[in-house]
Amino acid sequence: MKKSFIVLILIITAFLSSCDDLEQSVDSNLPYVEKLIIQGQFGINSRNLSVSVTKSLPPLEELTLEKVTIKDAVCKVYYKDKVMNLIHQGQSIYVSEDTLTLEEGVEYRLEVKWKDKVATASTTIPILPEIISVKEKKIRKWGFDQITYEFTIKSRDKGMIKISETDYNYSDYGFQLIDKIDNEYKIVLTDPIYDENPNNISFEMVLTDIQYYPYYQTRYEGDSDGGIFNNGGLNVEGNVKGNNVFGIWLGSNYLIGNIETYLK
Amino acid sequence: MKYILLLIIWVLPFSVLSEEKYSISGIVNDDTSKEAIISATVALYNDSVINKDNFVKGAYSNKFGFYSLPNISSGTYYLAVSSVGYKIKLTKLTVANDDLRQNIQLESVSVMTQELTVTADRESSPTSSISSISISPSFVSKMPAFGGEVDIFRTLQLLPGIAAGSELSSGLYVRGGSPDQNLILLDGVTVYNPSHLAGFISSFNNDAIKDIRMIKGAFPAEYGGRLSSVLDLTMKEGRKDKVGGKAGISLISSKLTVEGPINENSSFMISGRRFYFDLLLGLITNDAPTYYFYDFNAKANYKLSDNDVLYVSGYFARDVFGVNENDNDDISVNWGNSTANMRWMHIVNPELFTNFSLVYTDYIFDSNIGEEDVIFNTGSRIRDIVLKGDAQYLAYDNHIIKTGADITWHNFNAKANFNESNINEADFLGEGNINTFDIALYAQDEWKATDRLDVNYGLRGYYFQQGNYLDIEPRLSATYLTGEGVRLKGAFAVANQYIHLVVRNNISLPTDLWFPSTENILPSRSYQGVLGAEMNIIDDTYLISLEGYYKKMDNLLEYRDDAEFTLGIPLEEQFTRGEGRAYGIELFLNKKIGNFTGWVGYTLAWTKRQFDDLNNGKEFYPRYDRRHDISVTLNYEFSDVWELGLAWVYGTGQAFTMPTSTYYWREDYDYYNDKYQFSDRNGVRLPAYHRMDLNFMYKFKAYNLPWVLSINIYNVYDRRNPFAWYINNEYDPQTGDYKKQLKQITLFPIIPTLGLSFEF
Repeated sequence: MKKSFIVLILIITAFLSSCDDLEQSVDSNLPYVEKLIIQGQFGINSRNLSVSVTKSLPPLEELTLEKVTIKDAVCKVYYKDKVMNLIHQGQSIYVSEDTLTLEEGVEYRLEVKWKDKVATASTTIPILPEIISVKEKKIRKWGFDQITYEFTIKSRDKGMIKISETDYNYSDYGFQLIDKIDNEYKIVLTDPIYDENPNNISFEMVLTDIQYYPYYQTRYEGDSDGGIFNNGGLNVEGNVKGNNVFGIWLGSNYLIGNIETYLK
Repeated sequence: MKYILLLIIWVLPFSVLSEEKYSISGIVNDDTSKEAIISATVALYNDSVINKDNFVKGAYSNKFGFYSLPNISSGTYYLAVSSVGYKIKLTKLTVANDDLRQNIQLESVSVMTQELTVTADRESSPTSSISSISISPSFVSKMPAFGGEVDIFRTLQLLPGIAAGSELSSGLYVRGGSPDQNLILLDGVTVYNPSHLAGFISSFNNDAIKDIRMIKGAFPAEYGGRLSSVLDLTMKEGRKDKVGGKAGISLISSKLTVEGPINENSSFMISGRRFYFDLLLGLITNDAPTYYFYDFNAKANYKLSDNDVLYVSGYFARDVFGVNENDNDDISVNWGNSTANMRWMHIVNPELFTNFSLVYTDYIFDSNIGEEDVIFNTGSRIRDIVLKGDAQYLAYDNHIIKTGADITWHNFNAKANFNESNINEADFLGEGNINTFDIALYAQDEWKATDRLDVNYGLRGYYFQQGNYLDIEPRLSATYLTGEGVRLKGAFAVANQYIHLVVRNNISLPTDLWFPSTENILPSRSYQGVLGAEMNIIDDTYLISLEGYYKKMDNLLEYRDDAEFTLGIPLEEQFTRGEGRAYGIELFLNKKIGNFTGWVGYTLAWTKRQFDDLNNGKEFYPRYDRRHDISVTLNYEFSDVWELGLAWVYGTGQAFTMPTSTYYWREDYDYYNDKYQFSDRNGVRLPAYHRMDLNFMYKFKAYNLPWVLSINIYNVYDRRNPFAWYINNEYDPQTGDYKKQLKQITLFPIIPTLGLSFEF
């Protein structure tokens, strides 16, 4: 009888306890590794080189620009046989002291020093491909017949390419990998055209250093959108090297033209 | 004179042979059910006093209960036969100028004291038993079980060297290997994905199982095709004395087993189980998704003659999931295994035992998502047809030679298509079909080199058509019994695996595809070495065992970090190849006799993986790596009425990938997005896992039948074990701001359940 009573008490206790919330806050700190965060992207038409230099914070800390901004980093860019100092301009941005003319095919090497951390990266503005031809192409998208244009290009350099209408060139999707030199590729405009007169359509071709590829593939990783199933625990891949540093340093080449010029 | 000499030389061999030698052989059965008894010890003595001085020779019954003692001179002997849970039986017999067939029937006894036996503890045990453990299904049934659902795999997870992937998984992670590296055999048939509820419950019904054997590594040449371990399950044959069975009901499922004679030469066993949580949920809400599973085991045998028995067995399991809205199934997912096996046991003569099998196995996964008029259908399927034969040659005193061959035809299929009712045909997006076959041959010798030294050596050869692979696997194991009663053990084995299960996020799901080796996907290969020692202590009531192992694995497969699961992209291109290694020591203390039985197991282990394309090429721990793993099991009979099963586990926290810092990332137009930098792959440890489960069993009689009421309490002290951690942005009503908060998901708090069963 006594045993039965004990068992009964256990069962009642268990039922009551099992109603508790199974998601709970944890009073624990995650291990913290401070990282130097570098972000620099520039086009051939830029008059200055600029780079954002910040630091990371413990994962549970709220981010503010003030907390992450680093004002005392030493930033230099080496190119050809020259050195250009980048000076803190405000917020997290460091900008080159003097204006300069950037060139395709030239390597720009970045060096950022802050405390015991040294970040290095290099990028080369790739040479644009030759446009061999442009053809009008009818496609069916979202249930409608639409027009787009297919470019046939011959690569002169490796890189990540995107061709878009100049009015729609701000998004970061639609890049394609050019992984062979002297090879023909067919590139389609990223968005369908609504204006059927090619005279009215200008396009922008962007060719970014091929080091952009791993970043492009992983750029949506590491988002802090919460939940155990939303995050695979993968990091964005950059091309900045060094201990406890992360970031990108990439140069791009541009061409703006009119569809009509190349249309066959 | 010369002719006389020649005559003597010619006659001499015959005169030597004139001292004729005979065999004693037979089958060991249970005296009531007539089920064959596996691994019974058979020993022949000169006298009814059983001691070393009178010992002539010994043997073990095989999986069919058959034993053979060769090369016996004419005379009178005493045959002692014993097995776990049975009274020793001593039979006087006379060998008189002929082979003797002596079947033995053993009387079962209350086996509270002997439910679990490590095969290696038996005197003169076969060396194939290194790293081998045998557990009786009745012991499994007494262990605490989640929801009252007795689970063989969950009990095996309590053994040293075998880890649980997570609380959600019944998968067996044996000595650093993943669950697909385990060869799981049911009556000799390979079973793929043997789980229900997406891996939560193993799909084997304990009531239908007669024998459970686990070999944790360095297995002998008779087994192959997997890297890590062998789980060899034998189904009940069906009792031959009367129709009987067992029925059970718990909060989430019901099951029924019926067995009995068909006629004097044949018997059957059929067992079924149905998970009905969906029905209970349906009483509460109409919106709940439909989910249930069921499985059936069936076996029949027919004794054709004293030397021939035909067995037919089958196994069928299905999981069914559906979301029902507006009377249309928007989502329906089904998966499961079917196997069929026809086996012929044939005793050619007392020295040659054979069995031949024709096997069919079919694993199918099928999902339909969509409305009534347009359904997106995906599916995968593996079908194997196997023809195999094994032989045991028992003519030598100190050798048992085993050999065998099998040929397996595999068909792998994966498909995706839209079924549109208005066009009345399927729009196939893609379908992959691979047909291939493999051939395996083996030969092994269990050699008793001296009274103290046993050696098992063998070779296994493989040919896998896809990729044209031909591999030879050497296997060697040895035990040496010292004068102090310590059994020293050592083993080495090479194993290859040609069929791979590539799992996403370390969580095994029925959607995961088994993929064969191809020209690009090389076979996985493992090299494993084991060293150990064991001995019985305190009047043989305890067995203490210590084993150390090192396992190297090549050509392991994982999905690449940037794997794309878009239709049309060959899956093969999404894999990356790497290597692994695992090493550790296992301590096992097993109490076999007394009022309470059970064991304490401790494992100190390291499991590591290295892939050039993952974690920047750096070595990492898989999620299931446990530095320390402790398990305690206990079975205690308070009285004739009350019995207690207890299990307590402790394990180092899971390896987990977590953010180690947060940073601003400047997007277009000066917009800053906050992001996380994560640790190395599985570079952070969650807190330790520990839990105690209890099972109170109350035995009573009603309607002239024996009943057992089981009161299972899972997670008795309500430990909030972490399944996962994540960072959540929580709204703070006091400040009106969002604040980051580290959150923990716990799967199961304390959960009590009741179960009721009876036998008839």
